[in-house]
Amino acid sequence: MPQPTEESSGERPQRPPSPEPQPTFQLDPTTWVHTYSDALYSYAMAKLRDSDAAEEAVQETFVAALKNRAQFRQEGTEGAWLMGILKRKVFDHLRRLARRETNFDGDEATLDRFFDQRGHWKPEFAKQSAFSLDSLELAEFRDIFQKCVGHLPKTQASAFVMREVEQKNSDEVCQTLSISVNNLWVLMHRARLRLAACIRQHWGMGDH
Amino acid sequence: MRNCQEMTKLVSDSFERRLTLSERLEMRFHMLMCRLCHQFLRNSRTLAKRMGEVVSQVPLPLEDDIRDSDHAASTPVARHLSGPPMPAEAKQRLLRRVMNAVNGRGDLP
Repeated sequence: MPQPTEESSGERPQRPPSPEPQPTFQLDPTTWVHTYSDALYSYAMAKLRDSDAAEEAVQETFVAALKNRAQFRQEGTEGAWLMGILKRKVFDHLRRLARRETNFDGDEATLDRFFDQRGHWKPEFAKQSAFSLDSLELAEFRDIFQKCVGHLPKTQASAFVMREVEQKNSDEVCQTLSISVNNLWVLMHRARLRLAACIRQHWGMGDH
Repeated sequence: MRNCQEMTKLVSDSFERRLTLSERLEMRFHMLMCRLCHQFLRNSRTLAKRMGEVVSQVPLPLEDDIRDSDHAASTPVARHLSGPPMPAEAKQRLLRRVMNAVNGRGDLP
């Protein structure tokens, strides 16, 4: 068997190539968990807004990564690799939710909260004085917005954040959630109604 | 003619697609007549505008950030509209499950 040539009169002698191809580095799952769990969980929470679902997605990501570690060779890019797996898990979850939630029969309550049977604004809204979201300071607005997005049905929240915060185009959002564009518009309508009302309500609770 | 419920849908749609001429006229007319629908329009606009402010102030934690994985969790970039770090108990459960998977007792039901 040919020995490796040590031309560089190495300070570090090189190991002879082993007969079996070995992974180029040793995996250390514990280190992985410590290094990446916060970042992965944070991403999952931002997308799912559900701690159980986020935890599950992160767990599944690590388990899937371990299962497929033979396919992974390039040291130093574990983060991106894990993130890729997590993204698939997260979007699968969002799609499952969307399939359930865009069956809008269960969400008639949204519109009933605002409109009477003839489709007119309910009297409690008519009595309200003018309210403008402009009057909130940015930091305050951000806090309240976060809270209110968390109160939306999950798929409304996902659709709204992707469209208005991440500024993705409709096609991309529809594809991600596997919904039709009409579904998306319905979601956006309900999200806008609920967000405006929720922000107003929280604003009213602060001392202004 | 649309009632207010239908009109708010049209208002919302106007952020998603180009309305037809007759839709635009009907909307403009309704806005003149109806304070609450007009307020919904203004608030929807403000919501869209303020999302822009929020995003330009603090960049979103985009997928790529994690490539710089040592920083992803600690930089202020990851703060806005990103989630919280993983709670300690959840981390314990994660570690347990990972160790089980490593030891081959992994994904058994």
